Amino acid sequence: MDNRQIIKNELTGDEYTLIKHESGLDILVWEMEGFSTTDALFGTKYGSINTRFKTGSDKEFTSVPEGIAHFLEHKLFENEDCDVFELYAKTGASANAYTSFDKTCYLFSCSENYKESLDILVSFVQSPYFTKETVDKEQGIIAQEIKMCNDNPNLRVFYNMLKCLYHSHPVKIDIAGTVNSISKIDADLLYKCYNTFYNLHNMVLVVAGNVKVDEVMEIADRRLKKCDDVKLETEFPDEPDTIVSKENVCKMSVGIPIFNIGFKSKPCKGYACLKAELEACVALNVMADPSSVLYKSMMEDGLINTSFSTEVFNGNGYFTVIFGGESKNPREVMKRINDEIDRLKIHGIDRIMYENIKKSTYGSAIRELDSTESVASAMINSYFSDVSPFDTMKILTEMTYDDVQKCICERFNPENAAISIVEM
Amino acid sequence: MPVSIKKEKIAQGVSFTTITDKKFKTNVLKIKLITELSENKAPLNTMVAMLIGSTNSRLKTYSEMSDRLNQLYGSSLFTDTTKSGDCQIITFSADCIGNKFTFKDEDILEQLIDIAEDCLFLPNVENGKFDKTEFALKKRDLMETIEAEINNKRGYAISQAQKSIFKDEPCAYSQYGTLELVEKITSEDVYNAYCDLINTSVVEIYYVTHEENNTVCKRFANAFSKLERKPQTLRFQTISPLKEEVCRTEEKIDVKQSKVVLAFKSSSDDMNACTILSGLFGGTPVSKLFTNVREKLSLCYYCSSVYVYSKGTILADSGVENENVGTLTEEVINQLDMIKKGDFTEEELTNTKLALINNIKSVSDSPSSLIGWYFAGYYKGNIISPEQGIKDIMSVTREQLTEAANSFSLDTVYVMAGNEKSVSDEEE
Repeated sequence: MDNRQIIKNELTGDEYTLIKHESGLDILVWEMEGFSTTDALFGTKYGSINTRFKTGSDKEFTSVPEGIAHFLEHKLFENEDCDVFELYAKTGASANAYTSFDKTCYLFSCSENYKESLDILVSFVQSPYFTKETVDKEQGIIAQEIKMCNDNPNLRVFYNMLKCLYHSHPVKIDIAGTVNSISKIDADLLYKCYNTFYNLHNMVLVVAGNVKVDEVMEIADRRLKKCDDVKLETEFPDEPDTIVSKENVCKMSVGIPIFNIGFKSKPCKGYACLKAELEACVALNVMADPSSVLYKSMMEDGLINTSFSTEVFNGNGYFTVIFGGESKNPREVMKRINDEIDRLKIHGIDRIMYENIKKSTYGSAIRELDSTESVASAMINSYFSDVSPFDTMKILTEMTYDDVQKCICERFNPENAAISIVEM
Repeated sequence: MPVSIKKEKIAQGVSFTTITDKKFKTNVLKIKLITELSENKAPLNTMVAMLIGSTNSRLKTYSEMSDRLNQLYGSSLFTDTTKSGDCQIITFSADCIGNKFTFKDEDILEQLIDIAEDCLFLPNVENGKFDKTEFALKKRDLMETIEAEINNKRGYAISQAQKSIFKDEPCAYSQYGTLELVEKITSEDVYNAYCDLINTSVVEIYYVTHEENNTVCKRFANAFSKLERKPQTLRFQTISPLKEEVCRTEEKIDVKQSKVVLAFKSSSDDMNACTILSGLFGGTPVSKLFTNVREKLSLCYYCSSVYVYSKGTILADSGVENENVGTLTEEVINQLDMIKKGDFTEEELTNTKLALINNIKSVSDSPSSLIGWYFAGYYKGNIISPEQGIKDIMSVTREQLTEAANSFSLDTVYVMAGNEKSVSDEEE
């Protein structure tokens, strides 16, 4: 008998079902009344940072080339007898996949025949097929994807910042790897990674929108192959609290210089991490949203334009708050940010502004519920972070002024900050 | 839950469409001001959009505006400007969460509509000029937007290609203008452009809500009826003439990957057949371009096409190794030729229709896609329900499709040429 649990959000009345399937897979289903679309994601907790790993039966840790998780994602779309897109084409579903730093997800969105599409999704992700020929063919396609990314100054400025901040954590490497690193990938290595990470105990299936739990279960029972937990262990090199360098400047063809300024701080896990992320998000907005003193003064002095934005970037073993945008004088932007941090540490953040930003962040969480796609991705992101998708609203309603002030004192340390610039 | 749609004419050249659907948690308002696209006026209209989308006579700075919107649970209010054929569209958007989701049942909708109304009808203007400080900030922002266009290589290649593809047509111009044009703009010019826009543009307003309520419509009807409007007569589709000889342009830029843009033109009026054609050619992951140019030949990561209804043009684009530019260009042309000869299976045709229908069926699931659907219908002079749209797609025959394909001819090949040297040699 499957173990079903209904998880409810008292604030909005929304709910979803969590099923601990006997195959070892956890399944999350959110039935959304009135919606025609169904969005599904089948994901594994395996991203570009998982370059060293072992299973219970391995004696030693294995190291694999950079970019292999992303390569594997591309290759899984090819079955022994056909291309997976051809199967989806018969259902009309729009299918895709992505690899991030810490996960790989296969997804589809459709407005009819969701059961057929779900059957395809669950089946193909469990049926790897790699040969020398198909791997060689993919090298050319991915090499062009890498070159496209190398020409993208927004990506370059971001990765260069991570290289300034992280000594050894693999978050500093490009998700897709390099043209050189992917040339070392072969079918055997792909099978090795597949068999390690694409174990149902390391995966999750989420479905949101026009869907019925019982129908999902019928497909799961039929298609999921029961598997043993391989006792996967991933390993990250020791990462010091300090940063590597304060600045990186890269020359590229850009019309106006682009910058990313990152503040590295201690990583955390689970609920504590979501709480830290939301506090940092509120802190960033109190400090630098368009209604802030800092934003206003930098705008008036011609230091930033409306491309200026902030972000919290965190995951397994890394936590960074980022200020980014275009500027003709990025170093002065960094100086102003550091000055403002010093001021806020002494004088404290504005209480009214803090309340307004909290309201605004809560409003964004409500908006997310208006689309099947964002609900599905909120479910998978929270699952892999060991939290519930409803924890965001809970944390926001319980957050205090002191929490945010403490976050500024602890996570915005100019000693641990680096600036990355891309200019002509 | 049924979706109800009501469209009313509320003033000269102004229509208001209310879409009610109880499943949504937000209210969304979009006001589309459509005007002719011209080289000189486009940057002025863009400046108007930037100013009225961030300030008004009560919230005089972007800071004050942002602060107020944060108080309204992060309501958003912004404008963007796009070009569609030979027209420029300024879209003013405002949205907020439903009142029932606020902490104390606050009426944030009414407060947001107050702000939106002020932005449109009571801008931050004194003595016939927009506020000096905000004007200067926006002018610099626009100039930096123009300077930064080259940062997005794919978008830049397409916009450069359009200069050749639509040469001597308004559509060739950027909606941002050039640095030289923006440099000369005065605050007074922008105020005059604002007056023109509010009085002479064709206005389509869309409001998606979960609460049955007519007050928003009434408020805009009242505000617009106070103006003495003389709306322009606009043509939303102006077929771009085919050049006598194929235009081939190459631009050298310091990038690692070259970009190729091809334009095929037609005067076919079979809109549905052209839409399916573009889908079959390069609109899906089972299209001719994806399966042959990417998957079989491994030439590129992306190669896709889009049908630009307003100009009767199909644009195909890709990013490729410089030495493969010629092979890729030939192969893209070859794939369209194959469709012209009827070299596609019944299954490929059905699958393309299914993919398009899947998108249409999802229209009712988000306020913005609902607005997108009905505005596209208005623009194409054919406002229909998604259900009718599906029937129309289904009814297109193989013969219609090959006929549509044969009506397209190659007009322009634009190449943004990157460095000859391979990245693997220089970086590793």
